[in-house]
Amino acid sequence: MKPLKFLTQFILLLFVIVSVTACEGEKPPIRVATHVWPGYEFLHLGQQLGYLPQESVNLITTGSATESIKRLKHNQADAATLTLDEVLLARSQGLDMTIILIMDISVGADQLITREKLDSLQQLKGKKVAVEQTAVGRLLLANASQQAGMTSQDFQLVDATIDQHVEIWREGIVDAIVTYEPATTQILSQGGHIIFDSSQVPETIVDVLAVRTDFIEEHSNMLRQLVSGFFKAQKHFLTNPQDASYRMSDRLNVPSREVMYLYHGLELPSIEHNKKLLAADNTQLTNVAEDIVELGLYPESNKEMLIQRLYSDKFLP
Amino acid sequence: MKTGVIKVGLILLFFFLPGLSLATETFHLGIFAYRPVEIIEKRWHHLETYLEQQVPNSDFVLHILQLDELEKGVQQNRFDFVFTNPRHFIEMRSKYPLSGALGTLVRLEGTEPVSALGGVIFTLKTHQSIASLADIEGKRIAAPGNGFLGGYQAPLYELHKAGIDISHLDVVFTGSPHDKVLQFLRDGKAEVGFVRTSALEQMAAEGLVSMAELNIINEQRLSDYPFVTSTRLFPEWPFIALPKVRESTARRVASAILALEPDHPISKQIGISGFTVPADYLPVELSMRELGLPPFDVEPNVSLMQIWQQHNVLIIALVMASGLILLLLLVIARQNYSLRLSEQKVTQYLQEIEKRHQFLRSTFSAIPDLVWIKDPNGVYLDCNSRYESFMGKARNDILGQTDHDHIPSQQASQIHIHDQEVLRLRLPSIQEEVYQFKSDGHEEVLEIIKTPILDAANEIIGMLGIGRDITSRKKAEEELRLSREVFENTLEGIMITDRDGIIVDVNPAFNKITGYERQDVLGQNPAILNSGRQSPAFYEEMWRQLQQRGFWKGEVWNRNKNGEIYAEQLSISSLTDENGFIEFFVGIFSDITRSKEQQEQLSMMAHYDVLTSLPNRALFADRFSQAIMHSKRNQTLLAICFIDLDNFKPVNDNFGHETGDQLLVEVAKRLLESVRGEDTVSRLGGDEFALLLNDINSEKECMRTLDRILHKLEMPFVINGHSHYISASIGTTLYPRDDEDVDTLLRHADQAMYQAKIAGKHRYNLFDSHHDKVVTQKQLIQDQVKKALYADELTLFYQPKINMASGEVLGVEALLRWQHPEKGLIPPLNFLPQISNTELEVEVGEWVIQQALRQLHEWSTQGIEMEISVNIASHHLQQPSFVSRLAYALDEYPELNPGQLQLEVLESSVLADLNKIRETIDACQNKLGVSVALDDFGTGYSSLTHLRSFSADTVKIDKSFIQDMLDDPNDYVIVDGVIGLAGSFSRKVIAEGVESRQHGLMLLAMGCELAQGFGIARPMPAKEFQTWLKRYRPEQSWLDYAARTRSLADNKSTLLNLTFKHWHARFLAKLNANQDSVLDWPIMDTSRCHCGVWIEAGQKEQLFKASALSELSLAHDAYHANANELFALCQQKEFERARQGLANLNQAYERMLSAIVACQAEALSPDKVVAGYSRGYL
Repeated sequence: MKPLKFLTQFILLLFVIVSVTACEGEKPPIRVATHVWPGYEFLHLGQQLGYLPQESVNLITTGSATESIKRLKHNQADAATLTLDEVLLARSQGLDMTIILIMDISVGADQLITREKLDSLQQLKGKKVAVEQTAVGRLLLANASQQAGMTSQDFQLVDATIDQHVEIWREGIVDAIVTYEPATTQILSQGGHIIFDSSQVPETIVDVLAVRTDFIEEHSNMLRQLVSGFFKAQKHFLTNPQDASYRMSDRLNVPSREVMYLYHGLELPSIEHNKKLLAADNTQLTNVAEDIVELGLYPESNKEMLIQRLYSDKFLP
Repeated sequence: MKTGVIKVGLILLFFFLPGLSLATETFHLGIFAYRPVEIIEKRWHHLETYLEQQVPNSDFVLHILQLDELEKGVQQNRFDFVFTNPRHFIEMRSKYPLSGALGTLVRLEGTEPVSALGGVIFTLKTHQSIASLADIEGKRIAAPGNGFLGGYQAPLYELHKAGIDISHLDVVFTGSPHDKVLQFLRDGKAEVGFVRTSALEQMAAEGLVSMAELNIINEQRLSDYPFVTSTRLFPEWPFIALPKVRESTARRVASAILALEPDHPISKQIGISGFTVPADYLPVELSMRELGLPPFDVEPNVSLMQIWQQHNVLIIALVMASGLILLLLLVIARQNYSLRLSEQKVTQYLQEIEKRHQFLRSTFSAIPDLVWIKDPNGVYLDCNSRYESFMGKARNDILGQTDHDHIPSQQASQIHIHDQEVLRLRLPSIQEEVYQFKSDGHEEVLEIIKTPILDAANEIIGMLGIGRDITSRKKAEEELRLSREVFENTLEGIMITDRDGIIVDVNPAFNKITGYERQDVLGQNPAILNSGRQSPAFYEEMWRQLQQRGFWKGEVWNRNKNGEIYAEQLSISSLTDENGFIEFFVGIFSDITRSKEQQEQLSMMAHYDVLTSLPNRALFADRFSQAIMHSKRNQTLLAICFIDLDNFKPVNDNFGHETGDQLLVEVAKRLLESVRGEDTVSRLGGDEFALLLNDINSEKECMRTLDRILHKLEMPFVINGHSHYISASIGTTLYPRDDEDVDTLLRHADQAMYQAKIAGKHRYNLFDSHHDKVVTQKQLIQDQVKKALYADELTLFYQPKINMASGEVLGVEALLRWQHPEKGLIPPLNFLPQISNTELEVEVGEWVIQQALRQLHEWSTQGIEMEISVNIASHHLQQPSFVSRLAYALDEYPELNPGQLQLEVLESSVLADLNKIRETIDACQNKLGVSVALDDFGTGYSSLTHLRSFSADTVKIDKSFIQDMLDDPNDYVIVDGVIGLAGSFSRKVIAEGVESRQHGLMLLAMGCELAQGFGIARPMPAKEFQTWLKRYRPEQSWLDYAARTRSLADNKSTLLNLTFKHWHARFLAKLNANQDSVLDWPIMDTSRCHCGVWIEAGQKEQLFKASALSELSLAHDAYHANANELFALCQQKEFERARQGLANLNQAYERMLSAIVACQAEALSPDKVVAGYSRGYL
């Protein structure tokens, strides 16, 4: 009797598996818009290694986050790799996105550099500070000033895009600058002191995988596969860095021996870390999102609408 | 010490080892021979020499061996160092004590250092059937051996990952070196080969094979990795020290090999890049485990014997300890048994006693009253459980204590005195006692019987107390008293009937409300109160509810003893006996006649205006919704009128509110008199009224009513002996022409009333729903455009811009079109004005820029380098973020030259904020490098200022001037002036609206070479533009004209020629056209037409011979005389006669042409430029 029972259960299980995979199989591949950034590259690595087969994941290379958002808007993509503020920007434009994965966290990649060696940021009061008018730049400055008991209003802000940073520094126009690589190396070589960097505001500047919320409902299995493939690729990168370097160097446009260097200042959060950050009762992400919204970048939007149900942990393996 | 080693030599050496010299120590280095021994020997003996130099007193011996031999050597502990592949390293490490790697090999391929290896899966080109990993299944595979990483494990892992069952692969091992694998394939012994990366390239370098002969399967794209690869990569070979090597020696060897850098002579001699710090060999181990390769191919198999040998002492100790414990347990069990026997006996006795005791206690407890026993001193000896619960204490807490411990001492003393009295008299006694409890202060009342207890000797040994708790009985008595009180004194009437409805009791309030005395109604049926206002069904329902739910509540009209009807709020409950049968009904009621009246008043107030008793706004809306139905059914109109009194405020201010109110009442009356009964007059508040006129058949009918109202209201109102004069302003709208809800209609009527007020009061005004629609229409279009933008319905058309002189295509102007899915192509004028100055306009503008950039990018990939100019709206240009957003858009196409993008700024738009726009334009040009054109130039108010203020690169002459310049000298002057101005300010100039060959020639004569217009090409979609560009042929007449060397006089003659011929052609066209043609006549005035102006200027400038000019002037006059004659005939409608006169006109025309030719031929000084020459006419 017992073997018979086992056999029927086994057949039943087989039937369920077949029917489930058959259902999923009919769906077109999930389209992920992504531009080149070290933290995002595990998606492509996963595709190369067969963890994210092209039949189920279609990676669309875009030139920038803006283009990715545009593709989402025009229904040419279902998901995109973005920074947290870009997700909020998309939301402010009426595109409801949900974060399902934290891909990397800046731990020192973004820096506040001063011309003179200072004991405290207070000494910079009223001085000129160059900062990009992006959420990351302004958020870092806001956090730095807050820790020094000040606000961004205490400085004269000079708007400068990343391509102008080195020039502005050389011309001596500003007393401090909020910047990131590749400008940092050049600025420090001209004489500069890091007074604050993103490692001092843990879990604040994050890159994420966000999915159109209307897409989530019917594609949870695909999304789970996507996220799990991402972590397999991340593991390959960590355990076999040599192989991974060769595979990634093309897209990152550096020789393979310099691939690892690109990951300085980036934390690659594990599954457990992701679970912690995306847990429904963890307010860290929501707090950061609130901080970004407080910067006033999306003046016409309803703050509650922007940050409510921002992320979900149900696709983590 | 140079050594060529073979197996036999090695074994001999091994036996010889222990006796070797003391001064120098010999170290054996095992190297895995993955290629022929001679090749490896030739390269690696350099390392041997090098190590001997680096490690003092050392002698290194190389052993280049196959895998199995190498492993045997390790097993026998013959080697000090081993250099082998990672797979072999992992396998050995799991079997033998092996320390970690000292370093990892870095190979050199060309100039590239490589520290990772993988496998290559390949076939000969002749085997085309194998293209992918899946094709390998079932084919014979040649691999060097199962101990190889690149040559076996890595390819196997790749097959495994591709889902192929590796346990069924047909693999034949060729043995080392890898060259044999190739040979196997060539001999046809296998179809697929596995080798490590770089092996094929090395064989190719040695001329053993050509890569062109081979097919690589599953080739990986690995950027700058220099070898073909079919698999994942793993770290290169480790250099391993065995544990027996002294740490100091290992350290020296490690530092020696790590010191081998690419330019080190030894590295060069070996042909490697050097060694690097040991890599992580975990990936190798993981893949071995996953593949189940040795040594991970078997579950660990541990025999019992092995366990015994390893842990025999422990096992013996465990067995002995267990025996001891067993013995002790036996002793304890025995003692337990005897103890249990004696315990059983004792328990039996105790049970017997307990049984008897229980019997007594049960009796004691079963008594429902409180029972207690005290000794003569009042100390409790016993009590029953009823007493326990009464006292709220456990028996144990009561025994041994006195009453003083439970109740306040005063009462306790009292009880004690009484107890003593009973004991003294030796007689039972009955009494009531109140117990107040110390615990919470509550009181209980007891009825107590106390009996003294005597022993056999008649001595008092205690006192028995039996008490009955009568607290609840006392309470019930009290409650009953209270209920009675309420019954007697409440203001609500109460009537109690039995189950048959016969009144058994009423209270005094009943008497007050109904007028009936108690004795009047007892035994009666309540029907005596019936007013007859309620139907029998009402009472049936009431009784049904009472039977079912036991309760009824409602309002009833009853009649009192005096016959007056009053309203009462009545609630009836049924009271049931213990079996649930109804025993009594209790009716409680209050007189609500007054509040009933108030309610009716309130309802009136909710729908009517208190002052005038006219319906209020709510009722008006109600009536309107009813009227709609009526209107629909009868196909008639409804008029909604809003009336506001003129000059009402002075009445209020001068005569007070009461007068004002009276006036309003009068107005209401007159309004009611002016309308029909089915119409509604409503007061909205203050001096505002509204009318709802039903069944209106025409606007006129409505106006008649309104006229009547205006007339009625202008009659004096006499209030308190004073005459007051007022008038009214009325706004009206008609439903369903104005098809809106009542609130909107009232608002529309209000708006119309407001217009009437503005127009001078005392009048009515009809609401113009069309005007209102225009505003909403604009919003509608905005919404549609927004949708269109998101639905990608907007598209760009491109109109080419050319250089007429060279024929070259310079670029295109991007023009917005809306490809509507239903309405087809919509031109921009039909929707752009509606979105001007909105956020949407900016959004559309941004989209246009992005599209243009994308198009530039697309064309540049096809080899088409163009300029695209895009139109920028003024509002868009004034956005603070304009420049940064443009920069962002440009950033997306870094390879584009920003100069290829031209912003066309409407000249009129720069009026808005001169300084700000100048800054924006400067930033676009200087920071971003895009070019800027002033569009529609000449139409603005201060073109000259703009040209000076803005550093625009290009000026675009508005097409209206170009189109008319052949006809109208004034337009010509403007065009000529703009060309001149642009030249003076070094701006490029381009003409828009070039529609004919003549336009082009004229512009060339004026010095403008750039042009755009239908004469060149119409705007077209991007796809068509490429075809157009391929087929484009420049206009030959323009090229010819531009190529000619021309003097000023030549140019002027050309202009004269063109304009004159144009005039003639137009005149003829008008003459031959139908009378009612919309064509205009050309300028008939001799002095104002092109030629006339030309001749006048020509005479001043002395460019031409005076005689030629005077002939020209005469010919011109003659021509015009002819033309005027015909013109006059046409004015008189004599068209036929006019046409007959054409022959004469043609003669005069020929004369003119000859005169022009003569003029040109006899130009005074062909190169002359008149001093002080001012642009303008000629």
